[in-house]
Amino acid sequence: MNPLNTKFKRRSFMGAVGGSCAVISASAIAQQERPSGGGHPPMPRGAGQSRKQKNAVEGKIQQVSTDVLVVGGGMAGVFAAVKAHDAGARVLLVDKGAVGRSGQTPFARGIFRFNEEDGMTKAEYLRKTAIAAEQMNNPVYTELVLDQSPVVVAELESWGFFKEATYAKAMNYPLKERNIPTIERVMLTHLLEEDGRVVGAMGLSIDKNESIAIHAKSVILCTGASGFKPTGWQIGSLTSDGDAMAYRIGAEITGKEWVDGHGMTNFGLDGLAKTTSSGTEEIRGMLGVEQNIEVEKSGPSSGGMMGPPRGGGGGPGGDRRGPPPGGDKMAGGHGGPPGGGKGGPGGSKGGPGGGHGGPPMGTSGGGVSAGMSQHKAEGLFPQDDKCSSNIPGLYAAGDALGSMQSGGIYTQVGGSLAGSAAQGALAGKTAAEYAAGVDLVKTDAAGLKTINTDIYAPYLRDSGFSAQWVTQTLQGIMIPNFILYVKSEDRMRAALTYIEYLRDHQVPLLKADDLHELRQCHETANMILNAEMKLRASIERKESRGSHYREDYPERNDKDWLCWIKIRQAADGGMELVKQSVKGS
Amino acid sequence: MAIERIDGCIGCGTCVPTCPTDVIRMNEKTKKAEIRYPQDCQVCYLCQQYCPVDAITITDGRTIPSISAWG
Repeated sequence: MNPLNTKFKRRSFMGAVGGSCAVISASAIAQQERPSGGGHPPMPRGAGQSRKQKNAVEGKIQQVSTDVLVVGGGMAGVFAAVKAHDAGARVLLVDKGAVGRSGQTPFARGIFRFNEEDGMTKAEYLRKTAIAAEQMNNPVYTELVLDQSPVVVAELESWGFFKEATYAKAMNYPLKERNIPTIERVMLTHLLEEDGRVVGAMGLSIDKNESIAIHAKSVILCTGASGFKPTGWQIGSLTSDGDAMAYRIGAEITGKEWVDGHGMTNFGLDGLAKTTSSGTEEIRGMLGVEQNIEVEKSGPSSGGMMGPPRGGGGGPGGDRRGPPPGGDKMAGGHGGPPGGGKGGPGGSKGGPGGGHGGPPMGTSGGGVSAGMSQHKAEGLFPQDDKCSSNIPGLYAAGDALGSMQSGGIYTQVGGSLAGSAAQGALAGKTAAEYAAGVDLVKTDAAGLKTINTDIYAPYLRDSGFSAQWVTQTLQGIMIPNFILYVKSEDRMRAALTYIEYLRDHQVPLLKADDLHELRQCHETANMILNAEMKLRASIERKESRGSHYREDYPERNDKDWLCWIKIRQAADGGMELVKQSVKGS
Repeated sequence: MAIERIDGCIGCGTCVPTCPTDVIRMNEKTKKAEIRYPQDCQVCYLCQQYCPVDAITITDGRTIPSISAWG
């Protein structure tokens, strides 16, 4: 029996917290357990089965086994797969889209390569990062990127990474060279768990009525960052899937109060990747939060939504809530702007937008990154210096790991891509070592069938809400900047009330008409869980620091808040938040 | 708006897996790529970048007006 369902059945429908994916399929159960007179009347199910339903019900479960399962084929995932393989493990990589073309990796143009010869010692770099991060960074992972970035950059170079704007060949090269199997266009929705250990994952294909169960000794989540499909950044596929899957089997998630503050956007692939160094960038908090504060006070400037904030905002570098830096200093590791709206130089073919009037810099709405997670700040809470989660066998790397490489801010252009590679390599090695010492445990047929029912439930529903509409409703709640950028307890409590409603009344009624929409239903459920985490963590942190700004607690408070917040599922199914003291502070 | 047209598709199928949000699918009858889910186009230009014959036209903005943090 899938523990997710056990957990769900244990609690009443109205008390169901956490936005569990199990809730998606729970309408039948919920109808029995729903308190009488409370909540929404259950949506009636139609009689008879359509061909679509029949096909889905009879859809087979494909089963495969491996030592190490890597989820995600971006920078972290490719390094994880390669290093786990090289450490002797059988590896399988699964991506919701395609290797090198999913998540943020295709758009990242800069990769950090640390070298003391550029003029800054490691000790100085660590000290400056801690100051910029207001002591929220985890020095273990800051040091990892400093030590390993030259290694991963050299390896990427050998794959041809710096010669190809699209990266796909370079990212697939080491996988093909090693015959590492990959499965693409499969969204994994559930982690398999037996006796508190992760034993694989299960998910759906977007191309055929077939779910897949992967029995694995170890799982590495390289599922990227989180967001609500924001308006201006190409992260519509990053829907907090890794955090959500892991949370539902008891993993600790961290960093949800931090936000990305890009006020501007960046489209397309702007030329070849380049390395960045500590000699060319100042270590500082690049946030854009000041812009959000200014706009919240005075409204957007007359320069349009994308114009600079009225009054100019805070000072340059070093100001922890400074204005977004100039285009070439845009935080986020996405490289520079695509040619200032006049048609980027692009890659091998003259660039995206070439001949089409240029990438639409400046045409998206204000605060276009709203709800996006800060690189390396959100994700599974690392229990050690080896990318381990608190669930035996479960690891995470890259933006799926709350490594706090640079704290709740972004300090180094290109640092995220380098950090993803370094962490992926480390997690791959760690997972392979773990896998070598354990037996393969397979979830039984009944357990898989229960999850299969979960996966397909929205597809079998005769009536319900579209994922598109629920997502738009979610965006309407979470994206306005007076919720996650200029925060206050009363507004966040109001938003949380809405989110809880979506969680309890709309997630269980999400409906898909095809497999494309089925993927979206699961994404929407994951984003709603992410929204709840972001609001609860933001309410909990009663101070302002880094990218977290509370107008009701505008000062930094080291006495109470030199700590990270971990979120986990409590025994009663509710969401529990605990403080974790920042080590070495 | 968003991904607008595919003209002169040679049916190679390259663009289909390049789309992070699964907008493009192959039409089984015509054996050409078609814009199946335009509402999900995030205007990332990856399909255009990968298309070997420059068949894909993308215009600014999204099909469904997006919600912004301020406006």
